[in-house]
Amino acid sequence: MATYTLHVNGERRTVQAPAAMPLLWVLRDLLGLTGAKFGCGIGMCGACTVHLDGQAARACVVAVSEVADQRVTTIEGLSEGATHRVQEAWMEHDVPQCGYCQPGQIMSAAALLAATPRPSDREIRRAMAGNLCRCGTYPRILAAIRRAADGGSGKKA
Amino acid sequence: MSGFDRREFLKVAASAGGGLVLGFYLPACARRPGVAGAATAAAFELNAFIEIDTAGSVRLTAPVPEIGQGVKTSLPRILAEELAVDWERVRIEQAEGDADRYGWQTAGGSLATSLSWLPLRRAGAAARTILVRAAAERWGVEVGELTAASGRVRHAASGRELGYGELVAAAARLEPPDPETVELTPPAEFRLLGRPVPGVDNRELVTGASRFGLDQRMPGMLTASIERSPVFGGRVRRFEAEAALAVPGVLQVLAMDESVIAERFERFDAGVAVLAEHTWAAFEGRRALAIEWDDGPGSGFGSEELRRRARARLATRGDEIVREDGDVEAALAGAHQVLEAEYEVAMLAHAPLEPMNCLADLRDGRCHVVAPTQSPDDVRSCVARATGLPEEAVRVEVSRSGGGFGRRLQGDYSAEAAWLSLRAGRPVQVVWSREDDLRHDYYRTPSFHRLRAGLDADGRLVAWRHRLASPSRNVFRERADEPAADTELYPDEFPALFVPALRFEFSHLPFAPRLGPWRGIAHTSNAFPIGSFLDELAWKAGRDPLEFHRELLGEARAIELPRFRWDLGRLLAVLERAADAAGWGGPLPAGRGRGLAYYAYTQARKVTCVAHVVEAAVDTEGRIRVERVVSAVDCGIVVNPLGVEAQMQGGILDGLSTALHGEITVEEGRVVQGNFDDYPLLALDEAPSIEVHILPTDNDPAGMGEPPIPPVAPALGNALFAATGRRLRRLPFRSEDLAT
Repeated sequence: MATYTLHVNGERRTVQAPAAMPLLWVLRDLLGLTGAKFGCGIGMCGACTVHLDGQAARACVVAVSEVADQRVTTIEGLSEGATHRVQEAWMEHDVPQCGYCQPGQIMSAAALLAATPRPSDREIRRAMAGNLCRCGTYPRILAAIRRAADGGSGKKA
Repeated sequence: MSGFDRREFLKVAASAGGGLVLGFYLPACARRPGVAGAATAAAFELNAFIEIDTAGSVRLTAPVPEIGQGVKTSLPRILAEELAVDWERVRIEQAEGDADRYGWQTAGGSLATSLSWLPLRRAGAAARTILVRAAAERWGVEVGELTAASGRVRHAASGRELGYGELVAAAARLEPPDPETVELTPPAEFRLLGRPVPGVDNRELVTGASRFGLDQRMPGMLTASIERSPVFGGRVRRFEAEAALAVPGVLQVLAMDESVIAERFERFDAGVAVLAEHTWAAFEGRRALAIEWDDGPGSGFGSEELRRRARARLATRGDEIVREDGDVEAALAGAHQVLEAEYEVAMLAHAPLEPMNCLADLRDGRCHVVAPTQSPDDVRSCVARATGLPEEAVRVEVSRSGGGFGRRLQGDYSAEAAWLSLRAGRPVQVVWSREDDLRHDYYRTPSFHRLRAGLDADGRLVAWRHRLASPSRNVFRERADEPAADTELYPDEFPALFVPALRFEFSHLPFAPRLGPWRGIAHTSNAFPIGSFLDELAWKAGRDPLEFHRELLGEARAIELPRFRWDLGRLLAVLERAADAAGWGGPLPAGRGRGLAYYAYTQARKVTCVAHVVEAAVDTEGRIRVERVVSAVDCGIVVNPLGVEAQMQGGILDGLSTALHGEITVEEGRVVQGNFDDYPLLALDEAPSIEVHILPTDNDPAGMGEPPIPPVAPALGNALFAATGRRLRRLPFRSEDLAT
């Protein structure tokens, strides 16, 4: 057990945790941020996706001891009141079904667009392939990302 | 069946704040067996399905759990339509589990919309009716001179208007109309229904504010992680807890060595539970357990053994004749051509993205449960059975579920949470890992099929014999070894009623794992061999499959089933639309093929007709790329077209995911797979483009949760044959079987 001070959604948060404890559980159980979800625990489903210094990361396989000074952004910190263009596109295209995977999907999509404002379909597919959706909302995810991208056509898949 | 508990009952009373509270039953889902049919004041106590306050704000209660099928949006929408209020003014709340108030609240069987349709319309219309009456009395005019819209009642002749909020107090004192005769809005006049409406929780979902089961918290709660017997039916022989208790945050280790049999065989598996202050500590504590298992008799059995037994059993006539029309043996003997093939459908896990979990707080002889469940009633029953509490002492709140697919119809995880809370003296949240979920499911049973059919000289189907050997869905049986054809091969299964000589045979195979309903149940499993074998027959006869099916189905006419009839023309229409939109018969590059399949999915005297045309490409290594799916659906009146399209897309992707990747195997009594590395789900980069055509009709709404799935695997298999000339008869499809 050790003390870690993390930068989460623009705030300094201090926790006591074992070094190996994944960031996902620190966020959910110690910091009360339940937006990032648990789906597999081995980094294969993407439901836990957060940003570390703006890059998408699977929080279930990042140990708290590895986070250090990186700025952590969770879905709760992505915007004030669902105003990020990805969130707006998600609502415009009625993307969610059960909704469980969607925070992770949105975080991955937001990181993609921050790095690549006008991604090709191929780049979108590659970037999003690690975010599983059991309900099958992929067609609307694609449409929403195209919409959110600069100059996106908004056409449904 | 008549009786007070079957009629819808509307009662109006003043609510505490001077508003109007209206309650009614959702039907059909009859009362649970054992609950007295006679009404008591308590049983028909008012319930706030519709509440309107003096400011005119409307609160609607969504009765059926939301698992991604859209009912939290679509069912209140029906209410709002008849109530004649603006959707923007409506606030939706999820109902708690309460069978006495809400009737049956199960999110399953694709039944919610069709069963709620009339009762919700009647309830909304009844509320509107008494609001209009209250205005008529206030103004001294005839009801017929008034109209209601956007939450206001208007008297056109005098220009007077009142909002509902100004009328509720008076309306609450009026006698409610008879629900069976209340005037409903003609569908041609719908303002809301049939128009696209996005999900009511979208904003909370995209901000992470929504609380799923796993996100629920109670003060003082512990998190439990359970190490369960890896072999089905195994028990704990001995265990050591010291290392687990030494993990920081771990507070208690308990042996769960009792198998609690709930009324529907929903036992939880024996194991050892670690209770800790938070999830990671519970997981770590569990890793530190040392357990010696007594595997029991289940350890010697596996999927290979089952396959051997099945294939041997299929060599001779089945134990049960499920259906027999005409003389199939004579018809086969006299056929011009006979074809026979064996098919195999894999065992599947449900794998909803949110693993099983439940939060229970048992204290002072009462239990408060918050569950992501498809069946709050079963949660109540399981919790009562696991703890000895009376059912009235169990309160079940329903959270959103991260997917259900049939898995959350079982309440085993709620029994675990309540059982542990009783012993811990604190609220306990049981959290399953993904490995727990894949290894302790109520699986979709594997099945083994032998189909034999005869064609006449013109290539027409004249004889059909479907022989099935499989385990059966034992979760609903009293005893594990009680066989049942009725969950695995339906007497009305296709192509019954389309072939004069036909026989269905079933032989039960014992199998230790817990088996339960998987989305589409036996419709999904059987559609693959049936739709594929019919395609084989078409090709064998040298006929185009579309033309073969047109001829097989014949002219539009009424199809008579034991309890209702449906119009075959609806199935013909979706088939033609899908084929036409897909460009059936048009040229395709080498290595690509088109396959078609269709299904008429009957539930609760309704039918949903679906047809898919799949276009797939196969490379020389046998790798499959699904390029495009063109589909058509007729589900009756469409409540929310966005919801119908979503269920079509999602169902198609579910069908593709399982056809390409889904397989659970058992070796030495244990499930081999454990996570998404060995039980993969379809990823975004594998998804084809999907085109959905919704055919409008004025039939009452039918379900959409399951109907899109059955025709997917056969349509894909048929496309692969068209592309390669190789017929795959086993799910999931394997590249090695297609490599050249």
